Amino acid sequence: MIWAKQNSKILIYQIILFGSLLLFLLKAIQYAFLGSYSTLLTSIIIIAIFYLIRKKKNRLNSSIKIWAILIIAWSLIRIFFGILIHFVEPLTENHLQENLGFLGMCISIFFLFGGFFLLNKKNRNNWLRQRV
Amino acid sequence: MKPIFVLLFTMIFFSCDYDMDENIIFKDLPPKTLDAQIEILSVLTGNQPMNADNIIRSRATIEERRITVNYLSQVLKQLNLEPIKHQYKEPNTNPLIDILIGPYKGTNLFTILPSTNNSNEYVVLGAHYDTARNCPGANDNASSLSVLYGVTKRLSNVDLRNKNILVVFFDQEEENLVGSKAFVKYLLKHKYQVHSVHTLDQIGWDKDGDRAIELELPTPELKKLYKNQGAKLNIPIHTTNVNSTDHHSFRQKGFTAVGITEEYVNGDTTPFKDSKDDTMDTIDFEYIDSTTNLIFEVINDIVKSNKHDLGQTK
Repeated sequence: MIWAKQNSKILIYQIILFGSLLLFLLKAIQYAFLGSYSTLLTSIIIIAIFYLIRKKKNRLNSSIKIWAILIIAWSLIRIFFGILIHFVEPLTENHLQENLGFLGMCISIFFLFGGFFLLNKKNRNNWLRQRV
Repeated sequence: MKPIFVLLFTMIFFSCDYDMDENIIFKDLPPKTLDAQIEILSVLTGNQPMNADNIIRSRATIEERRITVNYLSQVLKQLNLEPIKHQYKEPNTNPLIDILIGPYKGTNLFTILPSTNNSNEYVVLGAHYDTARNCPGANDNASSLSVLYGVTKRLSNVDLRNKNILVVFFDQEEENLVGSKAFVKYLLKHKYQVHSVHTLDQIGWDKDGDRAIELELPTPELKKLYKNQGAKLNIPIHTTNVNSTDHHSFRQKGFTAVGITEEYVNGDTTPFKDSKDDTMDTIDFEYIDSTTNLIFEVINDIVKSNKHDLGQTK
């Protein structure tokens, strides 16, 4: 029972880690099709770093930690602006509202939890023990 | 691997865009052009229902803009013109913002009034249909949409047109002119030969009753055309250097373009821009009528002519 629970947590950890990287890559590809390549470049660099250090436990540990902090920062910035455009009149740009409205806020909160889940030392060590 | 495939499938599914036709209440527009213009402005500003379920109070959100596009499509169909949707996605102005939020998404709506002699040259007439949030946008910019309707209707009854007329309603002018910039890319990609571009913005306020308009950054040739027709119709024409609206997107890419507006620089302009008070009762319909006449005469002059000498032509 405990083994099954731990295994499912490892699976969730894997989904959140790979899912967040994959979503970032998809966003980057979308922007590349629109002629903006800097996001693609950033995502390739991040994925390359993960690939190159995939078998080095300590470095992988630090990289996941940094990635988790970046996800948390990303979510917090979105939540901050989402709240700001709700209350501050001059910042009511439609495009921001469309991205950071109810659905956008749900996505930000989901990623915030995901980031904290990745950052959790116990979860990270369990996954690393099984992975590397 | 299995969870990754499930995740990928879910993401692709939710990233699909759906384009459902709205249930538009559309009764025939009145036969008299000015009456039809008043009705269009009334619907666009929420005085009459546009959608079966709701009255649209502004044209700002994706949903409100989609309903507006469907309504404007019906307006074009009333003139026996085929509405064409140009859907686009554009990156944000700063790549750092790309990481934070999604791209701009919008729809320009256009139609082509063909020339009577198979010309491949186009005169572009445009106005944006979006508004700031919670703003009915009567002056900015339903006034221009109703002027465009009147001009298009009159031009469709002209016997001789030596050039095609492309009438376009831009999306997202209020957000860094994204819609018109995307439309410029569309014109360049499809290699349209554009004679000149005339964009309208805020054309419903005339407190001093002089019927004057301002031309924004016209070429000398366009200025002369407008001045000539203005003199015939007794309409004062002023010129300014304002470049903060859709004509700027075209000029940036080398098109011959001009903006047409009320006396924005001279100060005879709506004090209600981008506010909830930009309502239909602030619109001067005599001014709408006189500006419709002026623009019709200018464009008719251009399309009747066989000349192609308006400076730089794409």
